[in-house]
Amino acid sequence: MDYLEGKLSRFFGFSTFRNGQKEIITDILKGSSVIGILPTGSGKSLCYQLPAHLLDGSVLVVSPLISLMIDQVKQLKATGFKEVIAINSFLSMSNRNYALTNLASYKLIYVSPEMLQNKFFLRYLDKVKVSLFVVDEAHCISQWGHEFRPDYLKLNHAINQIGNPTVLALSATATPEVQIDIEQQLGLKEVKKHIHPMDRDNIAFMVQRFTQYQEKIAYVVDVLKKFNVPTMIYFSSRNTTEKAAEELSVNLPNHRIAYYHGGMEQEDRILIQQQFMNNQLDVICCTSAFGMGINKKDIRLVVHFHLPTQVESFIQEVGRAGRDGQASASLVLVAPNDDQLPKRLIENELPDYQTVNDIIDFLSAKENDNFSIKSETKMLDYFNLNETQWRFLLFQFEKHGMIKESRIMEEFNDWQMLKNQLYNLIVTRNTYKQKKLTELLKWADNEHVCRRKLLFSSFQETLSQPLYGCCDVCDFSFLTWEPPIVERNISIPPKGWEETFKQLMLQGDYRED
Amino acid sequence: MFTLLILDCIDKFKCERSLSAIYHLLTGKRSSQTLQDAYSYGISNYFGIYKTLDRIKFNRYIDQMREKGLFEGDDEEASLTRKGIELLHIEKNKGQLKDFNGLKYNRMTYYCNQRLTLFIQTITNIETENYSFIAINDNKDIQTWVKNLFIKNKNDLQKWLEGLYTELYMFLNGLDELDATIFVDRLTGSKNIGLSKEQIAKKYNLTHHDVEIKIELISHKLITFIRTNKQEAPLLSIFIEDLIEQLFITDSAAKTYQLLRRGYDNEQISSIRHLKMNTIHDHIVEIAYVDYNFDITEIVAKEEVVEILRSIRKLKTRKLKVLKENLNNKYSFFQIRLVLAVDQTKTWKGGLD
Ligand SMILES: Nc1ncnc2c1ncn2[C@@H]1O[C@H](COP(=O)(O)OP(=O)(O)O)[C@@H](O)[C@H]1O
Ligand SMILES: [Zn+2]
Repeated sequence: MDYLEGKLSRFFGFSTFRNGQKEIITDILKGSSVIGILPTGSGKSLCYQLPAHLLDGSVLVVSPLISLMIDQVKQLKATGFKEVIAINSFLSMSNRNYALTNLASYKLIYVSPEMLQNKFFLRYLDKVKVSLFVVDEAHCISQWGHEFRPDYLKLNHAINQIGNPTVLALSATATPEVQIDIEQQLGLKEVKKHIHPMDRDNIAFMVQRFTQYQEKIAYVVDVLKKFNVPTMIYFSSRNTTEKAAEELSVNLPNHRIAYYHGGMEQEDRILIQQQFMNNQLDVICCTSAFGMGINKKDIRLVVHFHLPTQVESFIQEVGRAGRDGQASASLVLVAPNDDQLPKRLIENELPDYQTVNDIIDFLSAKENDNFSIKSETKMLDYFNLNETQWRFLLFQFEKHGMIKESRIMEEFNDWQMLKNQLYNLIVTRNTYKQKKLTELLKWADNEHVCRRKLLFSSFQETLSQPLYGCCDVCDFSFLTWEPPIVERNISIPPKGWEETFKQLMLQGDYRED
Repeated sequence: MFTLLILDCIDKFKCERSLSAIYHLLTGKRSSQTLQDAYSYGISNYFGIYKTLDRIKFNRYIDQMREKGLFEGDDEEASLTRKGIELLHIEKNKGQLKDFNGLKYNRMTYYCNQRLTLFIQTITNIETENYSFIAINDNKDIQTWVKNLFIKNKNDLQKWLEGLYTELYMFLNGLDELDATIFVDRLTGSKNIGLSKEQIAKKYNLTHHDVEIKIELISHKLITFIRTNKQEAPLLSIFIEDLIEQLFITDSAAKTYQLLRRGYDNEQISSIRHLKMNTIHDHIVEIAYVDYNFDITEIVAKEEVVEILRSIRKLKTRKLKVLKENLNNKYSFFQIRLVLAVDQTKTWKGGLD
């Protein structure tokens, strides 16, 4: 067995590397910076977790998803890798102080991008030898990406401050233009690129057209009647999510169906998510809020009752199917006017020009007021902004030197210029996003070209050979689909609370010995 | 049940407070007005028992009740109809609401519940050798608390399972069948994840509102049970022993309070905290309601308190504007509010002369 395989089996208990892992790790160990684009579920995290065991010093991972980070730390600790920590605002004071003063003792340090702007944290980090700087979800750095995070643009600065360590940028979706953005924004030189195909050989594609909502429901009912398999159904509005879940439940009495969206209480969200993972639910009707960090391996069917706003999101959502490599399918349902909602979503992502105008006027009047933007959460109400719009504005204000540390700069006076620049920016972005939406809608409209070919052509040159059917244009149909059907975790017939409680608490006959 | 709750509030408010006041009471709005209402009208037990209630849904519900003829009048002045009074007074129904203890348990129920749920999930999973379960609560305070308890007792899990089972069984046995069933359905063990509120509503054919307040009511009963059976429920007691009956005070007000006690004055606090003076005043009023030892005479001189108190008694009103005018605008709203607070909490020791 070769050196790396030996370490892989020793630290993780896996006998072979998956596609791409070994090449990336080898480059990193040689000290080259790497951009790694690998599909979701392919094992990206191993590309820095193994080096963390092998490199001198610490590996620093920047990730935008705190909860994912915490889950990973938990899992690693469970496997016996104790020198890991996620530094975030959730850590209790004492834990945080301990972690910070002992920062160099951790081999793997997860941080949020905001944390890297914290002067105190950077001071602690000074004492740490960072041998690898990992940027997870690296597409967030691109303004063209579907999950742009302004904080990511400042990573470049952090990398410099830390003394330019080797960088590993990872993402599951990145078009060539986003890849270029990653390389430039992070200031990477002589970077090795490992771009792996996005397409998955076990997922077949199907698009169906309808004239209205009810037909879509009927179609889904038919498919699910035939295949009671773990299924996710994506919707673009919270209301429809709830409504459809109800209608499907009525029509599919043997299926356990629930809905999930960002408007639910946190507690209920966790319960529903865990029930789905635990096979207590068969079908989950959800918005895009569901799915971050889901690693259920046997999702067989991902239905898009509505399409998202761009190809990248679509690929990512479809990619939640079939992590176990078995036969899975993507089903897209289209109807006339389906494009209205995503269009509105796009328009709402950024503030409109009138609002920008009003806000700038408002702020320029406050200029000498020692006015702190941060304490003024009322801005959201005054101007009827949502969080994303406000974050966008704050970032732009800061970038153009209008505010610094939440205070309006006294010497700033280019108010009109700022308005013009923002206007141009908003127009450019909206046009770009509309273009992305059109691209996805066109894909769904097509009836003659292989759907895979069309979907992945901007990401990669060749396609892998599909294992269980390609698409409805080529060869796929639900009539011949044969997904593995698993024994269901059938709910136990209702017994009184006393018996259920005894079982839950492992008492009496249910005791574990 | 939600209907009854609202009927009871309308009844107790005696046409003197608006329907919005009910909303603020149920959601536990942290304002001195709401606290005042809770005390004055004897419904402090409903304070904050439905924190997630949505304003629009509340309004819709109220409208439906009005259409059903359970009460009449507009939002400012509502009173029960005969039909409403009858419904409220059916003996069985009245009993349901008496176990709420909102103001006292206000912040305890959430912690008690979540700690218990997460702890049960933890020990049942560990006992069945499943070490990689995902916590069903992601509140860090709760997680840390549960983790500490777990670490202290990880060699005694059998004893804990058995003990908690016995204590909770005793509690559940005292509830009616449906409440006990709902309590158990909500728990997460090693094999099953608990049901969401939505799922409970569907399973037992209850409205969403009823599930919310039912679950809250069960929690209130649990805390009362633990406190009255300290001997029989030693393990459960651990889950609430550090949760003092925290009379409500906002976190922000607590910070202000801390600074006050360190000797800073209002202006200094306002500049340290970057808060407007008005906000600091709100905090101080809040504190005056909660801390019975808070001495307001540093802000309103003793004679002034007496004068304002007299005016309150004379006019028999708590309306700020009326009082201010009656006192010839000599005092600020802030000062009058403070005096109203000490009057309400009956902590004014200075007499009326
Ligand atoms: N070489 C390997 N052999 C077997 N399983 C692996 C290997 N590398 C990673 N895995 C597993 O694959 C799963 C997905 O990995 P993860 O890093 O979460 O994927 P990604 O971040 O690319 O979506 C994890 O459960 C991980 O343990
Ligand atoms: Zn095809």
